[in-house]
Amino acid sequence: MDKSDNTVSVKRMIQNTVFMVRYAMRYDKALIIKIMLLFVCSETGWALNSTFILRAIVNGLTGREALSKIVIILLISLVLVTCLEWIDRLIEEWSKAKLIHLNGIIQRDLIENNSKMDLLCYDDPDYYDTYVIVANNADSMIEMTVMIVSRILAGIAGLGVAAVLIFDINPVLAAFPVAGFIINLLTRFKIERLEYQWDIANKKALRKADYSKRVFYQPEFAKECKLTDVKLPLRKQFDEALKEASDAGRKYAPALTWVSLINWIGVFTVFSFFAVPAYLGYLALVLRSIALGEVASANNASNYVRRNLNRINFCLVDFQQIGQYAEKFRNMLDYRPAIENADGLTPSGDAQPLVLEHMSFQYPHAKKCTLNDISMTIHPGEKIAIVGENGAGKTTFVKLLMRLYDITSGSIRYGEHDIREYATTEYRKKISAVFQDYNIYAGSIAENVLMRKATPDDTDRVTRALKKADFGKKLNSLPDGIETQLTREFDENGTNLSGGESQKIAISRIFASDAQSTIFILDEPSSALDPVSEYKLNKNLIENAENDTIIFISHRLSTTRMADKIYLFEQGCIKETGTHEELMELNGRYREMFDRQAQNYIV
Amino acid sequence: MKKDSTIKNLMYALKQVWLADKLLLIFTLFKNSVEQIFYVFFFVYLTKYIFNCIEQNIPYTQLFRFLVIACSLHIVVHFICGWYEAYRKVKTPAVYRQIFHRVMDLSDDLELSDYESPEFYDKYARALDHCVDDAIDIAIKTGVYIGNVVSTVMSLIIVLSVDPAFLFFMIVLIFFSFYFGKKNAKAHFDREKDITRNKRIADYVKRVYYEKKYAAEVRLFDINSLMLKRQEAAVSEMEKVSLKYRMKSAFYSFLMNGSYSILAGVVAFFYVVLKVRYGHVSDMSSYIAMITAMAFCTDQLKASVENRIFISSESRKFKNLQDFLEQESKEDAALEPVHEISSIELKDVTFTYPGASTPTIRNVSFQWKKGEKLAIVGYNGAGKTTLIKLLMGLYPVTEGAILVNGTDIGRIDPNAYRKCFGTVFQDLQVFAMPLSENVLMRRQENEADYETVRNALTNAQFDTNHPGLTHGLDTMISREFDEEGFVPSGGQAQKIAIARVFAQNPDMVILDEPSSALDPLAEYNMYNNMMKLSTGKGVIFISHRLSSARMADQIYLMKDGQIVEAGSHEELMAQKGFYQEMFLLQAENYQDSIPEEMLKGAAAYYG
Repeated sequence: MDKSDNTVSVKRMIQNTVFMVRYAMRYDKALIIKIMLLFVCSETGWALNSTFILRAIVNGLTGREALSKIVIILLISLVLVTCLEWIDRLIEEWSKAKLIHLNGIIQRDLIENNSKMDLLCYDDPDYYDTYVIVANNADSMIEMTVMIVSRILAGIAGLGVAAVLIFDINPVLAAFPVAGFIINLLTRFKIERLEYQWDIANKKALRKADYSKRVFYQPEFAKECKLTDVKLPLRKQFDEALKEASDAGRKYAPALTWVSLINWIGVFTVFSFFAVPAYLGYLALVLRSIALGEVASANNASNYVRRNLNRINFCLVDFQQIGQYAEKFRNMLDYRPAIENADGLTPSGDAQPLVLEHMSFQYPHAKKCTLNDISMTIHPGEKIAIVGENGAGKTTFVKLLMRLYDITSGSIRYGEHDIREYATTEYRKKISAVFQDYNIYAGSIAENVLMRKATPDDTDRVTRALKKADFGKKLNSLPDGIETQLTREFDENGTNLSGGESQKIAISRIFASDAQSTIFILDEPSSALDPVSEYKLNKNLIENAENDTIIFISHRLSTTRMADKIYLFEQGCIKETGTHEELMELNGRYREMFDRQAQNYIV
Repeated sequence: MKKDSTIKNLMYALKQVWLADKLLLIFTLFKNSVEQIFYVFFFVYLTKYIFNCIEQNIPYTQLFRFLVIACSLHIVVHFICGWYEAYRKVKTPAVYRQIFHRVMDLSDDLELSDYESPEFYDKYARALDHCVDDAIDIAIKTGVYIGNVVSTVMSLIIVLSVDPAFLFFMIVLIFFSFYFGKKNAKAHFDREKDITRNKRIADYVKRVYYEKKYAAEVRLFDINSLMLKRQEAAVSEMEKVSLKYRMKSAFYSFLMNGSYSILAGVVAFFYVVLKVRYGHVSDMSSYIAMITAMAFCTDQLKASVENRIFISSESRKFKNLQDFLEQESKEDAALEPVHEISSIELKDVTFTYPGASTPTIRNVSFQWKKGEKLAIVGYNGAGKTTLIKLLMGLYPVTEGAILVNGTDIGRIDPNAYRKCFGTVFQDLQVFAMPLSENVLMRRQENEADYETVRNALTNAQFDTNHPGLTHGLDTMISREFDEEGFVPSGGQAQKIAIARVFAQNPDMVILDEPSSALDPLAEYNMYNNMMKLSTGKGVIFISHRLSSARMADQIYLMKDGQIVEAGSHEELMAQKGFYQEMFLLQAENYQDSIPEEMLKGAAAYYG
């Protein structure tokens, strides 16, 4: 991938950049055009002021123009400069403020787009870098594109003005900045390539160093740091990473230095500082073809050209970065999710059976199937328990049921149709789930329960759901009730809940779910709950979901006992199936697990 | 006063670079200032020299020779710069080392409560995240700033040597730049302050969508309705605030920059024209040169004001860094080292979290002797985890006392004390290091260490033959740096943390819900191994699975921060209190037949 980054052709880079500007224009054409116009006006104006107007003044000094004319020119200059200064301020301040809004809209669109990328994009580091990260950098990159493109356009306009003047004095003079610019282009690309290679090596090392050092001051690692000697290996890791970074510098710096020297000496020393004055001096002192006034004007103009080229130069560095980024950005826009956003049927209102036939699943790049040849039928209203050792594929299994991934072979049918025939969002409305690694979001309790904006009509539903999840007592102790803000992300007075309390909030999402849901999936819902809360949870689940399907994963076999059917997973396969009694009868793995756990509960 | 602190902060930032590598600082300052100074020579002095040559008809060879010498000198400067750029790439890591070795040394003295205070992140963590780049940036800008000031003065001298009247223009400009520069800096500072909150909201929303941990929930719930509106509101507020301050900034800098352009440009030119026409000047060429010299001089002045603002706002960050890095190391002399713990006693301990209104722990007393196995059970939020944190000296108690071997915990060397414990926390962490180091928590040195790791993992029920472990015990954990790294599931991470305790073989073992994510067989075997290997040692564990609590010699049941029941399993069952209720609730489904009346009783009790 690194290689392709480097070999985006110049033509493609320009196309890419145009694409980015067009993309931004889709959102706010007027703003982009205004910004570009401001840039071009500013640069053209300054170019006029520091070439033609300056020449007129110099001519005035050497006595070629009448004083009245000079005064008029100075007045024109006064007005021009005042306008230009204000335009520059608009560029610097006004446009930055306006771009915040544009950035906000673009970001909103792209994160919404993000939410429609298949979950796989998050699991695979390759996909993650190509899609997720690219989408999330888009706003700042688009802003940069607009700015850089405007600057380059402005620079070219300014150069045009200066070129007219230089050609007017002596066309040969134009050769020096152009030669400098060509050397610059050639070496600049080489420099950029070396910088890029160094940057990758350096960043890789520093990422390691950054990780190791952050452990020392990040709160979540504080306990381990205080109680164990983990600092020692981390410190070693840190030192090694820094040595690696130094070595990367040692490796690339010499070549980089030599190319840079060619660049500096060629562009600045020879073609600007030496060639221009030497040539002008030659014209004036040896050939005597031009006078002092023209020398001064030409000198000013060529200084202006050099300054301008120098600025364009810096823009080109960014331009290259944009061109490469845009390539990824276009790829990202071309990405079509296979699962999310899929169109299709809408499942009918009634609960229907889920039928799995010879279903297998393999993560991309994985060597082995995570799930292998699973077949089962889950009838509406059935209570299903999934048990098994850590790493047996239980969580992956429920994610497949929710169509967070698509199965590799076999089929999953809901009612008459394969689940892939339904519109994903419609199908998922049938399902309500609590994950093992649930999250609490910065928002009110009500929002965290409903997982959408809360209206006053929801109060009842939220309170009831929380009570069913045994959060009632805690809720009463909170002065703001369900309006209490969770996490300290936005609100310094936000409430941080304990592990068990957070889990109760996550569980209450199930109880608050819309009437449409008929399948409930719970992945180790009670791992952090105390025995009383766990008991209440189980009781409430059974009472509230009489007609609904429940699929739950649990390590507490006392809970699974109440299931209509228990599936024991082992290494991605179903090893044992049946009711609690049947499995006990079978005298297999389940029996072994149950007995072990029950042993100490015998009163 | 404000000025003093800016200089102090700046000096502190530069000191960090100096301590890391003296040459790096010297060359950073030298390179960046000398570059600016060289421009004076080229743009002001040389221009004037050439114009003079032309006016006075000096032979071309002399001019040419002068140019060759000047350019050779410039090439020498380039070589120094080139060498410096390479040197900087190699030596920047030294600045990292300098700052973070200090952080690492300091972290021993930080209290857990320091980490958990809300300001900690805002104040220190953010300063620490970027301090190295910031320090280098500041050093560079300081160099440029010095160059700006020197070249302003130098070009001013040249300008004044031509005509002292130019001083008038420059004095007005210097006054303007300071006055409006300051106002501008304030508007900038206020803007940053006022948009912080909204920026944080927008960043948070963004994070929810691109961090992996939220990805599944984002797809299942209609979270967009929650997040997008909030982002929209934050962004439009940000735009509004930004626009307000930025237009203010625009006005001030318009006055500042406009005065430059008009005074040093238009008005000064007018003066030059008048002077040349009517002032009988002898060297017109110098005056012509002054037109560009004035522009150069004001550019330098402008740059120096900008850099000054940059330096003072950037070095403000180093105030926090300094507070952090220069805090007093605690005196260790008076502390008693411990090597062995024979008893820990809690006497009437009460603890309130800083900022909380009610105590989390109330009047807790108990004694723990070496060799005793203790279980702490109770409701969610009863204060169990806090209690063990107090016991390990991670927080100071609010009231009461904790005695270690009869000595107050405050007088015990905390690091030596904590070394006596092997602990598994509920919110355990695995590190981006090889598996073996994750278990040993140090580098393995010999074959015997591998043996220790393998035994510890086996005892913790971790499957060392898992296909994900591509490099065996040397497999990197997490994909942070290694594409082939092993990402443990919740249960596997828990097993790694438990293995640490087995490998460490400490006097005292503390387990906070060590088996919440373990499957039944792993849980059973893990507890059995733990009990077998810790004979004669102390064990405290917190568990919601009362079957494991049963293995303890003594059980404490906590409710609302207090110990409400204490005793052995049999004693507590006989008491028929909370413990019995809990145990029966959990046990009922493990019985061969469920006693109907028991279920009813429990249902009536808990409703």
